[in-house]
Amino acid sequence: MENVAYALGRRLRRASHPTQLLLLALGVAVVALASLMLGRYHMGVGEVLGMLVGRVLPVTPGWTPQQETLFFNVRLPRVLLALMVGCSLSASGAAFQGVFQNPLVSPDFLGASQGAAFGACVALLLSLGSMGTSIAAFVTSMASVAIVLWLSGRAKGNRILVTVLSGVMVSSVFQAGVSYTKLVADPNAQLQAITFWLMGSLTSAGPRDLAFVAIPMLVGNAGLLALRWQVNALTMGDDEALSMGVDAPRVRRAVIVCSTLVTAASVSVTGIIGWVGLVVPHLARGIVGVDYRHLLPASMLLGAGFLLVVDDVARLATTVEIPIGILTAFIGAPFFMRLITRGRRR
Amino acid sequence: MSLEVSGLSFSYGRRRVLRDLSFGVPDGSLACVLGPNGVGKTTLFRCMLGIRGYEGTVLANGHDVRELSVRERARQMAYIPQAHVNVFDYEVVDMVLMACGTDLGMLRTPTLRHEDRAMAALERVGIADLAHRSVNRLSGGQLQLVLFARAIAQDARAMILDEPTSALDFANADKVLSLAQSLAREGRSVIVSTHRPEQAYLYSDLVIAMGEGGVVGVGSPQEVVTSERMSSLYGMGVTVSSLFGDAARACVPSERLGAEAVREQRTTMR
Repeated sequence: MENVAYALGRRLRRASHPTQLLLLALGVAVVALASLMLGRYHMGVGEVLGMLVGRVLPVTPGWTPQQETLFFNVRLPRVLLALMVGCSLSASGAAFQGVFQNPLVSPDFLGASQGAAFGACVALLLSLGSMGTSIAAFVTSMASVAIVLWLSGRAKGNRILVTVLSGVMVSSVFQAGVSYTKLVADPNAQLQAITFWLMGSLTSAGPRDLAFVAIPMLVGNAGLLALRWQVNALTMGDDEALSMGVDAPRVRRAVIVCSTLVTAASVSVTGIIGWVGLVVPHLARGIVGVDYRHLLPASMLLGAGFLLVVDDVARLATTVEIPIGILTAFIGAPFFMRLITRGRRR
Repeated sequence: MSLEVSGLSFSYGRRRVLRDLSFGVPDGSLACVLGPNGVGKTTLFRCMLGIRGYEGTVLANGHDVRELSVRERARQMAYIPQAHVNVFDYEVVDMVLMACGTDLGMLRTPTLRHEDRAMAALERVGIADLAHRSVNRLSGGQLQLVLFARAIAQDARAMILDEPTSALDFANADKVLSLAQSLAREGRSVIVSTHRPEQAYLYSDLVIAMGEGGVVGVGSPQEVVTSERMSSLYGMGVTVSSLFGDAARACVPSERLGAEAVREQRTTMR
């Protein structure tokens, strides 16, 4: 199995960049179709495609209305959300690694996840409902990054270093806040909800969640795609980027805003999902190389496919669903280790 | 005059590094900056590029650098940094391409035309065969040639090269400086820092000697690369000898020669 994947990977690495992106997109489409079919209630290819096409063209239904309700209210939103969240986290991880000139950076290192967690915990403590929790998480996530940027703007010294340090500090304050909410939460109801939220899951994904994240994700990802060429220059360091006509501080700010939009949107509906934003860009580099013109779209596609597969495992492998945040770490970390050691031996 | 510095001062906190520097590099000429370690040659270049804040004025082709946008500045001046770190493993041609985007908007990506420009620059430096090599597999000297190609690809009217030959062998150092000279002859103004007075003498039209805090001498290579000037610049006895009908000059620490030889040399130079 691994050798097949390896051989496929080698073929893919040798293809031209447009071909690579096309193949990745095709792969994501296949995984998406399979994910729509799989589940406790199996649906055939014909049914899935029929229901999708039936939304725009008149098609004689060969399926029950219950199936259709299940499909449009549960399965399709969940698959779409997994794709969008995977795409967003990977894109923002890749972009952050570039603008901070550090391949070990993940999308939440400026406090986006911890901020969201604190907002969500407070909302759960106050029983604000699922939409209220999402909104609170989104707002505090954006706020925490805003605080980091404000702090680092006032600090003296190496800009990147003070930004990273501000991120660490703000994250730890919010983390303390999360611990405090756990302490005061009712152990029988709220504490369970908080614990489950913190582990990250797509279980409750519905059309409302999709509507909530659609705009920030669209805007943020489009922004990152548009800026991808400039990110290349930033990997050379600010002085060199400036001398080549790229306004490094401005591009970095724009990338932070876009990345934070998509990260905040992701964590606000799914809870904390780690590893994707760190690992996927590295996988993508292994396929298309380090140039952000190709790396960013490749990360987006690969991330979408990766998270969808992991979510399929989460919902299908066991009778009690495993939170996806646990799975991404279980799958992501060893996969990453394997990747590193394999690279070393060659 | 395409690069003109007047009354430029710069301090790191309370420590004044550059004090009231003034000089100009005319169109079509190559200027060499000579000076001991730590006098602020790199800082001077960063000020000229508008990367560091400074007092005084820097004019690039008549434009005040501070009033230009980042992109316009890059169209006026290309730069080779003294030290370069690769975090990610780019292909050589992609790295050169990064400097070709000075005519592109913030949200645009380069076209085939830009890629041709990057390849042409690599060919001009004679390293087109490295185009698809990954930068982390280059030697220090090859990397310096790539950075030089990148500066050429930027196609700016002035070039600022910070010790472009520090990692280069004899032949490559000659290649880079000859190329810098021919780029100057095409109408650009080129400013190069070096630690070798012999190079400054051989390739430049103008030598700027920088001592502690400021410029201690600007002039033709014949005027500046002399025993007296070099001795006071580096704070040690330096004997300069004329070679090949003054086409080249050799600089040797006087202590290596012995008093007799130095005296003899000084008399023949007069």
